[in-house]
Amino acid sequence: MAIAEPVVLGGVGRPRWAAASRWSGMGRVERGGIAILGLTTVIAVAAPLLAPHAPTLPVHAGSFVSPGRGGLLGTDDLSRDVLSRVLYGIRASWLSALVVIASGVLIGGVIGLVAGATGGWVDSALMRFTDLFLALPGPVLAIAVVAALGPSLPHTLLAVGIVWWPWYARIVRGEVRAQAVRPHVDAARLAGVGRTRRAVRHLLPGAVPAVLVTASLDVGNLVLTLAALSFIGLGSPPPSPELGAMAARGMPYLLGHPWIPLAPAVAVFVLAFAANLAGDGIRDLLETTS
Amino acid sequence: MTVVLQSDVAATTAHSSVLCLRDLAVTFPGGVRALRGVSLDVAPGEIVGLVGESGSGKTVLGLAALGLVAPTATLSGTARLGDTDMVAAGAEQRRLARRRLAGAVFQDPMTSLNPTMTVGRQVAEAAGSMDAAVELLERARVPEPRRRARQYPHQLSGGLRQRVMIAMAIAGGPALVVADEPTTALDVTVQAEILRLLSDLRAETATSILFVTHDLAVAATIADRIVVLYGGRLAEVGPTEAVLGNPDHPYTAALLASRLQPDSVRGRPLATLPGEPPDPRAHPPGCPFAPRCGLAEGACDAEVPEPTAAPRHSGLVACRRAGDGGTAGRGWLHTDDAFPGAAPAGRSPALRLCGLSKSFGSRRGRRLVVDDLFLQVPEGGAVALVGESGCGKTTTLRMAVGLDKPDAGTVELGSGGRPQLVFQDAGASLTPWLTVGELLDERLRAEGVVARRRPARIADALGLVGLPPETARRKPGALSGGQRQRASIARAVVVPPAFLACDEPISALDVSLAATVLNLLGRLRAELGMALLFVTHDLAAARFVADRVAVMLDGAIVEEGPADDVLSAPVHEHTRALVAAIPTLASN
Amino acid sequence: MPRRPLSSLAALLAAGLLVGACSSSTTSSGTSSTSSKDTLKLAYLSDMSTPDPDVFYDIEGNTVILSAYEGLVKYKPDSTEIIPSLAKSWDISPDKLTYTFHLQDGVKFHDGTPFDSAAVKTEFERRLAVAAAPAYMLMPVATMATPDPSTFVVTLKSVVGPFMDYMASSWGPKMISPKALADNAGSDNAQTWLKEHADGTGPLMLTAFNRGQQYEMARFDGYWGAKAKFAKVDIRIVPDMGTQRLQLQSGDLDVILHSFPVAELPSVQGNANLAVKDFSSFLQSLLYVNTNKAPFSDPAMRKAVAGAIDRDALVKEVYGAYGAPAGSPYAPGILDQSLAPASYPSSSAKVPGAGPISLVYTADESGVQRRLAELIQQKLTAAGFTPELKEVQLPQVYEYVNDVKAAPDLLLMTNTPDAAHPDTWSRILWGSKGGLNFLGYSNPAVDQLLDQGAQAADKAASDAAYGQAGRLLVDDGAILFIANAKDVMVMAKDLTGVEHVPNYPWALNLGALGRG
Repeated sequence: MAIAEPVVLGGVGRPRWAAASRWSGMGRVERGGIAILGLTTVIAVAAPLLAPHAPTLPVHAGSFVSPGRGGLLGTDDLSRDVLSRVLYGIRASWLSALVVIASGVLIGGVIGLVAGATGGWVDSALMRFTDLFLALPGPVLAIAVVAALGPSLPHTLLAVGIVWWPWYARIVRGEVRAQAVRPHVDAARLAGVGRTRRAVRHLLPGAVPAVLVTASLDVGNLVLTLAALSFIGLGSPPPSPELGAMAARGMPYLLGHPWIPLAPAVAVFVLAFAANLAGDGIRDLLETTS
Repeated sequence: MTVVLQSDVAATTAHSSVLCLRDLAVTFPGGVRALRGVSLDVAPGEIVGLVGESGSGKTVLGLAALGLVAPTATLSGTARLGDTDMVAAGAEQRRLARRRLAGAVFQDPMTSLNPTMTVGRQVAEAAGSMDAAVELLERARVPEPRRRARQYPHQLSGGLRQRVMIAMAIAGGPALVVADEPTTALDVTVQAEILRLLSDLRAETATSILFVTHDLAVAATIADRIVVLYGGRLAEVGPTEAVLGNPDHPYTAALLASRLQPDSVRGRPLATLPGEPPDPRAHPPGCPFAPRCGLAEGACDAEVPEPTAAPRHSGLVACRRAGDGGTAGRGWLHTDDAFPGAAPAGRSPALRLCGLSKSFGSRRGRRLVVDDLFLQVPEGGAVALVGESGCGKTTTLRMAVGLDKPDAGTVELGSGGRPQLVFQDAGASLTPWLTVGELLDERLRAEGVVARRRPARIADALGLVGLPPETARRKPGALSGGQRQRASIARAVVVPPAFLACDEPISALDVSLAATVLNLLGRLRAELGMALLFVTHDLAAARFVADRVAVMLDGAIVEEGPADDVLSAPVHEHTRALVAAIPTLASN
Repeated sequence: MPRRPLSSLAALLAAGLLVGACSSSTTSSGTSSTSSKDTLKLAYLSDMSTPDPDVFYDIEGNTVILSAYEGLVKYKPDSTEIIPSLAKSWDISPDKLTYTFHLQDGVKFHDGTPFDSAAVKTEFERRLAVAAAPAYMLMPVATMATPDPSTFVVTLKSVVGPFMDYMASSWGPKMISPKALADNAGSDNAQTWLKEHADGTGPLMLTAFNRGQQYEMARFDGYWGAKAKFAKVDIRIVPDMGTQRLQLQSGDLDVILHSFPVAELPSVQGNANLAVKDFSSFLQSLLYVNTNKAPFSDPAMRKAVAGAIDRDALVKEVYGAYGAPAGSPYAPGILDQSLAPASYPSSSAKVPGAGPISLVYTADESGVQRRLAELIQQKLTAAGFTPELKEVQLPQVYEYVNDVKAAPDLLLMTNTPDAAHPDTWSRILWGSKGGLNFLGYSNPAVDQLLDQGAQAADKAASDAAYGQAGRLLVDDGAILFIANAKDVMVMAKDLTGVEHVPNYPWALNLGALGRG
């Protein structure tokens, strides 16, 4: 055919005024994800208020009470209220994911910014250092850390955090490098803006959208990763309510008393799914604006 | 509504036009009404120049003719290409019609060419065989077509890539080629060649061309007929010479008036259009041009004027006042007072570049970009540095302001503040997440102005460039292109520099905006006594702004002298080529 | 952006969590179901360590050992009575030092080699030469004699009370074809060969041993006794209990031999094709208390733990009908319960001085240990302790005795004696040098009583001494005896000839088992 079709066919490009319609531009599913995620955040914060029982103590109803008869989700083999445990488990998953992401963004952001803004051998050295951590096998490291320090949530988070930040360092570094060659940085230099101020005010904010998108998509990943580590026994020791561990220790009861392993498993699934949808939504949102 | 267009060409050639638009309207999501009822015919073998500012709907019109408007858009009316209605037909029918009847050339060939395929194969896909492809490349005047066919797009220059695109567009002998700003990104000499090529192709093959451009002069060079779009509507249609000579629409007249000509009088500001182009989400209820029109009367705001027979030429014009005979008058156009007497160029130089050299590249090969260059800008003086892309003018500028370090030679700056630079892309030079106020504040801070005095200084600077003080609270994204350009100039002059460099500040701007910016620079230079180094590829702009013009070729200056002398009596061969290539309204 | 390896693992596990149990039900019916009537289909949760009877010292694998090999004597089903096997009778000298075994005639090994007294001697010598864990049973042997092919005489260095029980133990000496031993001797007494082969006199021959996948056994038509009813026995390695359950329900498995979660048993009882069978066993769940460091170096604190865990309620909750609170340190059938009673009056009071402690339990597929441990954690928390719970694998437990100060404060396990004799329980569990004395309990008075019991002239004196040792231990609170657990199996209802021996946990007599 005689027409090589150009990349942007809208003709109007990406007009500014399109920003107003960005909420409606986002898919219904993504908006649902954001809604579920909002709900989850409320649950995470308010779990102690919402949970009908203490998550680690037995309730009167006894063990293996099916859902509906004693508590919304029944009780587990140790007479504990499954709903309360799931609520607390969501809280733990959620906050853990946020802690890992926050630390990743912080450490990775600083290293990425210094590397990207400085360039030269500093950049090379920092990025090789980052690669070193990227090469670490995450689960093995997690097992090693837990073996060395004992099983506890902070240790698991430490191990996951160690393998998580390099991604943010790379993203921030890449975005900062991309910003660094843009005219506004030259303009700032000509305006007499110092090196540090330039990095923080004229380079770093350019990395925010990419970091936000990555972070929001990472939440789902982290929920799954932490649940998996907890599932194989690398989380808080019992009786802490952790979704992965709850599912793992409920496995023997899968056929006879399915709610015990399934309730936490479904919670993990919903959490990760909603987080991924919300991540997609946030990406759409930021991509239409920028 | 049916409008029968009676242009000379259309009338003489055939009844069956190649392209026939009737009441075409295109609306994008978010209420962006890009086209609002446009009717137009393109006759076989005719070149129609479609002219308008950005946002006028000209590009969308070209895409609609090809049936390539994004599927999210809502279309109404008809757009008949041959016997296929590109509005109503399905995607497959549209594709077939395109394949049979149409070709397209876009502004940036890099986005249309596949970077992983040789250009020969890409042309062959359209032409059918490699031999046919080579023949097409030859017809598009690609030198050494056989060798070039084996190369990849990135190995070709911008001009050659555009020729490859043209070769693809004319494969299969299309009835219509849509060329959307095909020369805007090219140097003037290359632009002239491409225009000649298109014109010759039309003569050889009787292909019709819909030539979309923002530049009246470029359209005048090539088109049989000019179509002026404004606010998604037809403003004026007519034979090129008639429209340029006797414009019946005030907007056409204004465009002509603000167009920089090689003979524009220096020291006298260009006429400019007040106001901004309409927001395509909220068109005024009446004539789209009425808010900027000096001739508008009450009724203009109430009713959208339909195109009717033009009083002074054989075309159509959509203006209530067209019949009043006053539209051609330019008296209502906005003209600044003459610049206050520019400070005479001082003896001590504001900038002296001595033996400047700079090369770029890797270990594999270094390319000398600036080669032993000497240039001097006197205190308060203005020098234009003219050259084609790749001649090293931007690198020279960057070294002059201290953004790059020369490999050899010295940069001497006169006394006064830090030199400033106005970037080619003003939008990109403003940090998108900071407000204009913050950007200006930073500069004041760096110059040691105490915090409490800065807001007043910022407001002053914004006032100086004609922006309201509340602009300080805006982010660049919330400003129009013209406002961004002003804001970036405001930052440069908030602390008046002894020396201001401008890197092609108007090349990305529409005609009316370019005039405004040139006027602004001229006034600021006079008021603040700045020395100016003005880099441009546009000799007319160079002459208008600068006292002296330096012509650069391959990293060195080949001709330097008083502006008028250089333009009227160019000595160097390259200068002569540049002068000859300037498209003018009179050249048709 | 490339995804992290961690997250793919996460996705895998999450997916496995949801669908794993459902997806594997029909995949592995394979070849075994072609002649399903004639084939007995069993499953192991994990590989047996080795089918070499002189090395084997685990529970998983008992079925293979006991059907491929035979010892001189064995236990009667549902009893601790010792009955003839390859020895049709035996005499014990009055000084209890000389044992004379009169062997069965006409017995052949799987390879056709006839069985005789020389083969017994060869086996005894091999067991001592291999010197693996079960060799201890023959350490007291002074001399062996084979006066004729059907008589085997063994003389001990000193009196060994449980010697005949050793001979009956599933870990006791099993007769291996001397020809096979000679042919495959290698440099390690044929240990390499016996890791994947078996050549005994039992009713079934080991025909294939694919580690990690499947073991196959076939009827030995030259068997001297009643021939096996099944022509084939398939033992698949199915490491997941959920999968085993689905296979059992779909008929791909005939018996789940052990570790069926007790809490899930009611869900099986409604199934018309399946039967839940429980057998008395010597399996006992125990809570070891580390007496070597604070806080449990203080006997009062040990007593407090015993009261706080509310044992009887705990046992009822976890075992239901399939276990009872241990009334004695010895399982019923091993020693008269009244000789060493064990009861722990429950107390709901807070324990003064209770602080952080570590509570470790060994992993088990049934979830019983975990559930017990978590309930104990709950109870101890209520009593003011802050127990940190940790699951460990068995090999780790054997390390504790090397550094008792670093060992956990509490250790929960389920054990079974080597043989139905009090010595094989008490000496290993709470004798100073006992192999299962994991937390290094040591009481010279107890050790002395154990020696006294082993060498006592008559059974009454012997039992009294063992009883006394048990009482001392209970008083010391060094091991809390939680429950006597039953051996619970779920099997196809049409299985017949189900024979179980309390001392052979997780095993049925495959030779007697039939269908329909």
